Amino acid sequence: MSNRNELDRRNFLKSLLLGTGTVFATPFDIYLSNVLLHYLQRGNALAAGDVQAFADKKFIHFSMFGGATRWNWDLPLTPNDGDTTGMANQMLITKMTTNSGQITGGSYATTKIGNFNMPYMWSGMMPTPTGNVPMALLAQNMLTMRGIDLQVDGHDSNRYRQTVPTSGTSLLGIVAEQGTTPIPATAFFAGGNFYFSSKGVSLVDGSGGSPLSTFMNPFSGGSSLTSVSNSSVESALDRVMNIMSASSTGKHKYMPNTYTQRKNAKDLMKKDFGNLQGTYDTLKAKYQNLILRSFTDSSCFLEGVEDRELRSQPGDPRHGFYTSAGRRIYIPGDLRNIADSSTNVHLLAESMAVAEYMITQGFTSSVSLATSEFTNMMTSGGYFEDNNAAAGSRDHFSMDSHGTGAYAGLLMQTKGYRAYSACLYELITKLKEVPTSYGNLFNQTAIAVTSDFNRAPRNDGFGTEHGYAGSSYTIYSGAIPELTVVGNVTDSKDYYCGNWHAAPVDELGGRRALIGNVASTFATVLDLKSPTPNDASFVMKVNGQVKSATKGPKNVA
Amino acid sequence: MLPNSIILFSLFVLTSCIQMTGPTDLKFSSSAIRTPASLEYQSELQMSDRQYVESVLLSAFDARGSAEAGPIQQHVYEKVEFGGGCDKYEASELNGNYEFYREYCWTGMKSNSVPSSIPSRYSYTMKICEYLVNSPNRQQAFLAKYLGSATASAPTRANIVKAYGAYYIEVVPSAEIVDALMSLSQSDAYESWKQINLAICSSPGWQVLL
Repeated sequence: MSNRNELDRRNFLKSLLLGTGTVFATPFDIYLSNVLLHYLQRGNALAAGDVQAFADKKFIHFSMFGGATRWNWDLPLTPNDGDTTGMANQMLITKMTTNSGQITGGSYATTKIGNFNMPYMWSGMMPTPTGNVPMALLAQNMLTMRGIDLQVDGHDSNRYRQTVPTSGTSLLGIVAEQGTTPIPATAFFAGGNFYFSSKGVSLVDGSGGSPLSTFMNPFSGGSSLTSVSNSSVESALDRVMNIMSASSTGKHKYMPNTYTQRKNAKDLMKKDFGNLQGTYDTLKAKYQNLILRSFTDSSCFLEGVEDRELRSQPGDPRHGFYTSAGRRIYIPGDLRNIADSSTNVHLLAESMAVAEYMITQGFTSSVSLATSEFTNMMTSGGYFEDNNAAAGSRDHFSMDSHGTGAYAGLLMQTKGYRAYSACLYELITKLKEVPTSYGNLFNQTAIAVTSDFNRAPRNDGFGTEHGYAGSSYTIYSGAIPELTVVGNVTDSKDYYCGNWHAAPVDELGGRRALIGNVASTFATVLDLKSPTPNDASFVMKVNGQVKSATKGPKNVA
Repeated sequence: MLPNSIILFSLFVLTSCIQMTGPTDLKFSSSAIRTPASLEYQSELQMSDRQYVESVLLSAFDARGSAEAGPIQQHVYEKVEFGGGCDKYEASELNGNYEFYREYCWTGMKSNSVPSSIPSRYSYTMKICEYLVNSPNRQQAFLAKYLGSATASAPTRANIVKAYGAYYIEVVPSAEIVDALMSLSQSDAYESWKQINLAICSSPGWQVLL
């Protein structure tokens, strides 16, 4: 057994135990962990060698349904020293001010990472399976594009445009088309209109309770076939296939590839994928634990936001939350109690589990995933704006936060985006552990976190609107060597369609950035042909590494 | 009840065994990674869609209306990997009911999914082909349709050409291919035809439209 295997085994064991909250490893824990690791490593072995599973570029796409507020997280509004937000807006806060336990206001605070000022929460900590680390670590391979003008409003159309910048193709599709994996395109609750392939590469949708089993279904159970596992029958058929393949060359130069694919399929069918449901459950539990700790572990709490009691002032809309049913709800007492061990980000752990398994095992090249609202928030004793008591002790809070006030929003976004960050960091860590010809798997992967659009803060501090004229788009990749921020914005004074309107960028032809510029930037990161070649890229590649192709992000007066 | 020390020791032994017998053939090294193969064939090869593949199988095994038609539908017609058209509005037009059930877009299928060549298409084909040749009713139906009798006779070059045409419509196989298929002959004629049929059925070539 190689040192690599030993290292992986120890790391996996350690992360599994600590990730699920088990600080002390009992013998049974060790036994269980090794059984589960056995399944995971078995997958590694088959994909890497047999189907050139890591020779291609990878795309992991997360769509945050609802139109998420992002100025607390991955949208820096004042990236350069001396920048101002250009607006006095009660919603626009990243840190609270309190007096005697009462929230008295907030400010737009930042923290310096590399060359840029990032929103204040990047100064905090986030959980990993083995402890806590600075959240700034996630920013080391991050590219944020600001000032994207989506031009039209609408949840669905803009959500899909993040991966389908022009009709007939998609970013997910162009990655799948260069895929060397057995299932080039996969989706989990984000299939359908997110995906097109002009070359006809099929999308396999694993939405449901057992996604890994669904994805691997074509290759599962193959050992019962005589043409796969009976050596004499198999070898006889292989001999015939080889002759057929050789004979097919004269009919079409690519015909032999179909026989190669048949062989790849057969090789996969010979493998035992183990307990796919068990593997999925284990990975999901790991990410679920990171989410839980992001919401409730006080060692991660952000100073100035979560480190002291936040006494609610019922009736003040800045303290109200907006439910997924479209009603503002007030919670009495300490606002921090809203998040407890039952609180979750819908589909986040599930999506991360799918991404980690399918990408690191070499089974897919392009995976489209979805997350949405905060679920199971503690609302015991809460009441709605019309003074009707909340029906139960739990409710779901929408990302479409029209009625989530400044303080409530900052609190939940800090917790929710810490969960997202922790999960992304863990996923990236796993990608980095897979050596490939690019150095490691993360170097050939783009992880995009998108939403329907960005949001615009209402000046009354009582909620947000759709910021479709000032959207943003974030990519994480090992090809991005440092935090990179691009895109120009200007204060539009129009709170409905985005206070930070897209502003012209000289290097993009002197016009505002459109979704096509995002698509070209994405293509540049992965060295692929842009589906919108007339829209310039924000970045270029220098010695294989992403560099800004613009004169930096600007806040235009 | 066993002493804790014995339980602990047993678990450690079991753990050690698993470690020793676990996979040791990880190929995660740069040297194992080869140059990406050209994937131009994904667009240049015109693949048959789910309707075509299903109809060929139903015809070859004379399976329309048979008990085996269901598995063919499940392995081919309902799989997005084969591509092909469907009507995603069919259900909504009729308040969730389907007038033409088979026009329904199954999970992951788009209304105008273009067929492509990916490995999972061939794994499903291998599965359904082996299922069908192992079905006495379907294998005998195949023999009756193409060889004139449900009772198998020894393969000949002439009737191998006929069997080949069940999948490769109106295509005459080369002498090399006929020789290769003849080489699958065994002492038992029925078993011979099972393997020959399986070889032709599970070969990818007939799913490429030239």
